[in-house]
Amino acid sequence: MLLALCLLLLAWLAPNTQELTGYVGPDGAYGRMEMTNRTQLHWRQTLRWGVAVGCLLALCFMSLSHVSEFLYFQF
Amino acid sequence: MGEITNPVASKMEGPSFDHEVTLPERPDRTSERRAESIFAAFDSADSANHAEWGFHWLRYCAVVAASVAVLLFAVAGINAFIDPFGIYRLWDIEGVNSYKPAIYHRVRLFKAYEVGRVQPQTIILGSSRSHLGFRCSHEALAHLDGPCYNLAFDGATTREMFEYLQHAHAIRPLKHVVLGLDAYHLIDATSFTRPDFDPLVLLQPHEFRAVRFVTGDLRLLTSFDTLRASIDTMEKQKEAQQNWFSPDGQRIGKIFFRQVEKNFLEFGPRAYFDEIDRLEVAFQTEGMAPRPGSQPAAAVVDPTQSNFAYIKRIVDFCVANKIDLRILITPAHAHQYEIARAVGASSSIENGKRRLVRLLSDVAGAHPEQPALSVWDFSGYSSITTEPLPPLGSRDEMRFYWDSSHFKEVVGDYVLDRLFSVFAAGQVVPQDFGVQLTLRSIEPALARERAEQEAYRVSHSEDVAHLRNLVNRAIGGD
Repeated sequence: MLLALCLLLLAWLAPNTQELTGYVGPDGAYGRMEMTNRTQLHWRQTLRWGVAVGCLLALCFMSLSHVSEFLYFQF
Repeated sequence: MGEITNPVASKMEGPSFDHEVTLPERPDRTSERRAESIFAAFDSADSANHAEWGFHWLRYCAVVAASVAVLLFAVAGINAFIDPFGIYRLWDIEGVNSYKPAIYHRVRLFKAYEVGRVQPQTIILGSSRSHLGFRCSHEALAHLDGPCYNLAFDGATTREMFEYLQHAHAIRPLKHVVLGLDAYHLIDATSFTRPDFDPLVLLQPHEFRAVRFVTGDLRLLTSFDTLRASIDTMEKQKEAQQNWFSPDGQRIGKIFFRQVEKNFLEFGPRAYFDEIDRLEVAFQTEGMAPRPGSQPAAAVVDPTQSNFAYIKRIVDFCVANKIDLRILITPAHAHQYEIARAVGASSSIENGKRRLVRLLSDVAGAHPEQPALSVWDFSGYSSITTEPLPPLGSRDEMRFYWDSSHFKEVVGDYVLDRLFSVFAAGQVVPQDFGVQLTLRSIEPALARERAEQEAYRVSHSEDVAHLRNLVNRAIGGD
């Protein structure tokens, strides 16, 4: 329940990918970035962002494979 | 005109990677403050800028790649050290990782790697019955060339057995294979794989081991599930139970049932036996209960993927590689056959035996230079399989069975004695236990089995009525 609440807050309050990257569409068709970005969290080509993105990518790789278990009868 | 910060371009200017400087606003971007967008980088028309941006992107990508590598390497290192699935067994440290509970529900995975360590030349294939009942230290197997390994696992299907046969042979050429078939292997149905079957950890004939290292080892070592299992392994060291895995791959019944299996310990052998009967009824009647307005759909069996297609592949593989193959039908307790009869599966099992004998005869006919293949049938009604149950409420153990499906090691020894014509001192295999099935002997054997079944139904009428009642209730949807 607590986890669900945290995830909901994350979904509602955290910036989305457009806000993070400052993408405003072709010729600004999606509006000015300042209008939508609710936080000061912007992607930048920095060491810290590189590490953060790298860690996220590693987590994605780690989630690609599952090691299933099998419970047969009582065993 | 004001100035804007271009965090991307700014990295080209600053001495530090993280340092940001302000740049004059580009004339082509006077109306939009787009400089903070990563996409702005690609809009630049300045070729010199492009080159520097490219260089900077490379540096950024190197940081990302290095971060990925460091994290995955760290996770792989932890997983290799804790080794929750027993893949490497490099360090077994008491209180740290010596107890590995994760392998008990991932037996297929564990055994795929264990075969690589043992490098057997004799393997036992089969289901949980073979897993529990056969030991490699038996006189017949101990004297064969090379190490022996019990490669049977719970709920094994014919397809899985074929895959593991190829895997073991790819690791080291096999000389002897014991194949234990259960009744459900002899039914004309599509073979399948269980949830923990992972073909990527198995070697195929002539496959490079480096491929398996990437698809198997690296994938498992860098998996979240493995990391979770590593953490779980460390947390559970204080709850360590006695290991019921023998080094030769056998599930040691004496430890598993008498020290680990909660229901067996708590309710006693007789109640456990009854519970497995109920589970077997549920298993065999699954999908049989009629639903309003629905007609049961006939299962379509793909002939190339059927049980018999895979049994044939196993036989062909052994013949082609000159592997001594010994096939047996496992000796479940008579209760199992009564359940099968109550659900109407008896004729399917009989037909399966006929088909198996015909298959072996055909293969033998095609390879007259090779020793004839035969199958020993230990199922049916014998002094072993009709062992009386302890009285209700009793905590006495049966002599031959842990439950109606799983026979004890002493029965496994009898089977191996028969299969390899070994006459162990002080151990006499009952005369009525096991019959060799051939084209000539199968019909008399089946007729005898039917007669013995009728006799059992008379002598154990209460047991039979109870089992039929369980089946009727299950089919009726109660």
